[in-house]
Amino acid sequence: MGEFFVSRFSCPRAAAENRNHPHSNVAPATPKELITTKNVHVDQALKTPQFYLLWEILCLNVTAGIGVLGQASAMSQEMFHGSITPVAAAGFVGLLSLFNMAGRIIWASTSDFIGRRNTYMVFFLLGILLYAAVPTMAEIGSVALFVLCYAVILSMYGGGFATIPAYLKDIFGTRFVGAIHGRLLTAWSVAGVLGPVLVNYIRQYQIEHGVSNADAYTVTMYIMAGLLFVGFLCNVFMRPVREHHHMNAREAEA
Amino acid sequence: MAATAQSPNKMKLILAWCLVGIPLIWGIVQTIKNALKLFQ
Repeated sequence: MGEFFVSRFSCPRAAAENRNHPHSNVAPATPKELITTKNVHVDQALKTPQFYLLWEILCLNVTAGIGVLGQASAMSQEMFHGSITPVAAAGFVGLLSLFNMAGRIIWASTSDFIGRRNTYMVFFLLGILLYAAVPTMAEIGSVALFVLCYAVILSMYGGGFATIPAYLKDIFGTRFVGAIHGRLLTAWSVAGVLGPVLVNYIRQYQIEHGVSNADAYTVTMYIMAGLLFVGFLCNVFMRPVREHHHMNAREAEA
Repeated sequence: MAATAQSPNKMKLILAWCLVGIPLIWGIVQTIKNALKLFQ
């Protein structure tokens, strides 16, 4: 248990030490956990559990965010029937896009200071709390808190997308990070289908079983929180790539 | 010598930022204006 906490808290230090060389390729003097100085070949990366954990992490983070973004207009109007007009709902979608954009800059920059894994820990834990809180915000009729919850959620959706290349670099090294990132983006494609489909089908199922339009998103929000919990577990299980996956000196020179 | 070489680059940099920044700021202002309707 002690080792668990020690290893968790070593990440920010490692990130901070890397920060001391922002414009150089100089590796930190003492490489820390989850920030490798070695390289993993793209074909070899696909044989590591880390690649699939990162795939799940990205997929689950994006599924939750894109599902909401795709349905934000209809959802806000149905959850606040009468108080949010179609014009205001369009403004809501625009606002979410702004937070999506800002999140990419702010969260990715934050990850340089607190570490990639810790950043995703924040995404998943805070995301679970916010998704679980959304139905309550709608129930008490607070538009401001509802908007705030979704604004932070969407900032983390953008942040997750922006931080993943750096997370990949930390785990697999720089040499093939572009190719590995390309393969990892299949997770985004899957999430792009999964998110809106989940939100739509669960909503439709709820309505067909007599749930009112305003309450039809409640279960969806709890399911999204559940997905984020799975993502959180994937992030907890992230470990450095085993040495036999690293490129040796001869391969690195080729 | 270095200053004269840097000057055109600086102008290009300012121009490039304006090309990106002005539409961006306009878009952000419009989005915030629309979003304020949520609270009216």
